[in-house]
Amino acid sequence: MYRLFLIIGVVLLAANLSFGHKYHTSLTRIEYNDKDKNLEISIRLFVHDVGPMLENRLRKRVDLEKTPEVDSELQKYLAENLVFKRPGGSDLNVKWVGKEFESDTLFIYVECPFDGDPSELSLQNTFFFDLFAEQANLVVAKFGDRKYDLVFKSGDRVKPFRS
Amino acid sequence: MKRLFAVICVLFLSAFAFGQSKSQPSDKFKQLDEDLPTPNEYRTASGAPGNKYWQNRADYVIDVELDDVNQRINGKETITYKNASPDTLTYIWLQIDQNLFAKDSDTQKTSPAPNFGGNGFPLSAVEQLAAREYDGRVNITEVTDSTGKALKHTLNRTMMRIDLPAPLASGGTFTFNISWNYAINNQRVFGGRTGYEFFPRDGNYIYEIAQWFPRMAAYTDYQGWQTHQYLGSGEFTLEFGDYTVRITTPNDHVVSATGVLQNGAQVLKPEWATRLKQAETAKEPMKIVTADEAKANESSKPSGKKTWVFKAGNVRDFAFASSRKFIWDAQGHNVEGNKVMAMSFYPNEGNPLWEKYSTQAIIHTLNVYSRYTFKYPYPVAQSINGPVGGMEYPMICFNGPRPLPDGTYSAQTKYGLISVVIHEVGHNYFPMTINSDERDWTWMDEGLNTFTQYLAEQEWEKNYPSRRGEPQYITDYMVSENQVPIMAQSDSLLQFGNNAYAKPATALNILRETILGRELFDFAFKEYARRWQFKRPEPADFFRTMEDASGTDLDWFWRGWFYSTDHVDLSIENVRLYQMDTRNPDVEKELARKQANNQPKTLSAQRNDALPKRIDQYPSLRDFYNDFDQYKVTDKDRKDYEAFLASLDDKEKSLLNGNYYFYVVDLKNVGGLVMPVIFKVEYADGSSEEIRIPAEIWRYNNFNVSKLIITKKEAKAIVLDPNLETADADLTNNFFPRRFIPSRFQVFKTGQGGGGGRRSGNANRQTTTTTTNGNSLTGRWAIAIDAGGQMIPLTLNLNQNGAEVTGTIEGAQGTMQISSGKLENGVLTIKTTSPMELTLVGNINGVSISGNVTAPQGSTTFSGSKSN
Ligand SMILES: [Zn+2]
Repeated sequence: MYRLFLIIGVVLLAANLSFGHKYHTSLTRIEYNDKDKNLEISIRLFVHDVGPMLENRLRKRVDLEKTPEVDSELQKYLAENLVFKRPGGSDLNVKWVGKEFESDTLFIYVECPFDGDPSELSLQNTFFFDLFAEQANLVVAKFGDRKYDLVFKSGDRVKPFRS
Repeated sequence: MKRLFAVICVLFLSAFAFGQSKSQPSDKFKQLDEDLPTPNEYRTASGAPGNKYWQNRADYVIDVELDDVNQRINGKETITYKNASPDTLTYIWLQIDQNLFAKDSDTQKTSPAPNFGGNGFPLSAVEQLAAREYDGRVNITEVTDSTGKALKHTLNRTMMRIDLPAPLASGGTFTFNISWNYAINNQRVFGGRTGYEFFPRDGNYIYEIAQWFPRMAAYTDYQGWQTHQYLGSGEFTLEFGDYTVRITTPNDHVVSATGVLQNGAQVLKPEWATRLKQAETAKEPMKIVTADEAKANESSKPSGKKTWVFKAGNVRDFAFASSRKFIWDAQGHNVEGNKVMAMSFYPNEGNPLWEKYSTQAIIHTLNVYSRYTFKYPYPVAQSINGPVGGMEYPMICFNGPRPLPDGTYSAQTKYGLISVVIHEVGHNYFPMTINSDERDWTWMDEGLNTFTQYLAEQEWEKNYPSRRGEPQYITDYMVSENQVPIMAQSDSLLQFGNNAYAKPATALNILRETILGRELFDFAFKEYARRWQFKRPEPADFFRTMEDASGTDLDWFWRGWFYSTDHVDLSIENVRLYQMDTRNPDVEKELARKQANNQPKTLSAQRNDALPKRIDQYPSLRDFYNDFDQYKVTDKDRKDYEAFLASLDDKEKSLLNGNYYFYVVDLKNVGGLVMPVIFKVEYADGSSEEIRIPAEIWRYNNFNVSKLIITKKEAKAIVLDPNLETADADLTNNFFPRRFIPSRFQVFKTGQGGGGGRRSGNANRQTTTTTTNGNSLTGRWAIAIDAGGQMIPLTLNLNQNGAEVTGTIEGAQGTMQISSGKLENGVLTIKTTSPMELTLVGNINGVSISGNVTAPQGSTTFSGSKSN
């Protein structure tokens, strides 16, 4: 029923304005640890975006620090919205490391064991595209000396690091 | 004194020329003149309003009814518009911002699906139906002149043009009337800076009503009519005026609005009026409507209507809130002589958080902001809890955070509320009185307000978790290539809003703490506020005033932080040590000999040593040159030295014998943004010293400079930006010798705790990959020995068997065997005896190693990391 309304409902604005918070961005930083063959990832999200997203999914009031389902729901959300793809198309296994709050920011840490050239991977980053039209997700990746800068905007899905 | 210089290098090294970088075109210090608008009689070159500064004015008398049954607004207004511009106007533009919610508006057409489900509260069937059919279009039912004659008007989405019956000359006034109505948006479904919230449990509404009446668009000296449509992001550009607003609501509602209530005797219960009077002198927030009374109101039914009358002088907008659910608290407060009523309105759902913090945070904000800008100019300041997360209007703001239904709340929620109240009340300064153009320049209100918010938060409690202001928080964003400069128009900032909030706030914090210092900055910032109070500044007015009032050319700063997307990344590329040539042959020649002996012998030379030589067989082949010792001190050397000494004055002599160290630090500007250079010199004796060099050091060469540091003590390390005050994005190159800086991820994973954040998760407290027990020391380690500024690379090839370490040390000249090695408690000690005597003692921390190396020539430091 809920999904049905998404489709038939009039298309209207869903700008969340918390805190003079008039924009929606996330920043994901990826570094390849060549020694451990591990992608080390820190994700920076605004709690003003994460809160409504989780409330929508869990269908109840959520306090990010107090509601017990937060971690497991975040892991599900990440599995759907942060996906590393091998050149052949298969996905890497993203492992949850933890999260921490700093003021209005939620940092999520994940890692991804990978033995190979990470610049050959592609990335799907679709955080909050279902909620905000003007969402922009920035990705800064450092693989050895090589730097990659990606931006995902509403409508984008998978992008290669090396294009 | 330059003639005294010669080069002696300690330890292993060779000499370098004392190079001065060649001058390069210094674009980063180019003056801004070409980029700023030409000063004129409206806006001066010093950044002040000019002698012919003008702004138009709009006074409003409004009658509005809030329909609580159908959630609608019905309004009728009389606007008196004064044309203070030098121009004659033939038409005027108004803003009909609520058309943002028209079904076919640009914004609605381009937005993703609405939030059906309403932040986790399933909508009732009635709400769902209402949401599907909702059309927030404003119906303009009447536009007439003062005699009641209809005026021709044309709608252009969120704007409306009225064609004037006669041209409005400079200095003239035009009075006209508009009637309108619209359906209020359910804020939880459709978002927005205004709207209602429905409480299914008791069937009541909270209304937060803004952008609710046709408002005069601004007509300015710099762009004529403001013609950017309202898309929801860039906010408002408005004129000042006086307001009389009569708000009719169900008679059991409590109403809060911009301005001062005029008819309390008619609309307030007698006990509320009495308490309100008492609150004027209360020592802490006092309840006007108590929690119990508000609870009782929730089940009341209105028996009629009441009209609340408010007046507000010299404001640029008007908003109000209304509900039968409101608790109301108030406290009179004297802000530098201005008596202000600080008041909060919130439902029982907001407690216990709201009664504890909201009004206190209002008063705190007024105190701190008044100190940094000007005395709060209005008689009331209010904070309302309802559906809107955070939004500002004159004398009133809407703030969202609430505890969970069981009344508990996390630190996140608590500081979220205090911060949002400070932020939104702070907007009374920027842009409510310092009336910058929000639709064009979001940063002028959000950036300056976020900066001042940071100052206020840091005076709330020690180590307040401020969201922005501290330079280190912004570096991740600044390195990203996908940015636009701060000086970009608001609508193009949509996804890069960081530019409007955090970056300018951080820039101002750096300007205050690192560039100008608090005294100069605070004076200039206050001067900007004073000059532009109740006026409309442009970016150039801010830039120019800050320079003019601080007496400092800051063009390079604005250029770097506001006009470019460069980031800060300064690097110490190299440090070279020079010592004074004493010219004393007994000292210098001995040093030279040592140095020569220390030059490593090539492998061939070593092997050739043992070969029998012909001149040993035939001693007669020897002559003067065979026995000449270039390092032996001659009488002539000593005579020259005496003559040299005689030529010096006492000051020169003391310098010569002062045992000074001359460190030449080679700096590179990697990020492009020029910044002051702040060094911390750590001395071998454990003491340290901070050296601050203004950004103008980059004036002649924006990318490479060398700086000479003269010390009396031997330095062990040099650190750039030791207090993390410049937003330097890459700390690894800030150390000499280089240090290993773990990433945020690594810090978290190894359990050292990120930047003081509150953490959770199943991260290993113990790092799994970097222990030094077991076999993990085995492998290759790339280290560099600090030879007085020059780094000598070596590779350690280590094998580990228990505590015993064996292997080789590889250098450019060849390979040395480790003669003894052990690892105890993370401390590695290895020795070689041939071909060079060397002891290396280092601390191993994961994959990094640092410590001291000792050789017969002296000792120094080394550092490095595991290479595989
Ligand atoms: Zn704001």
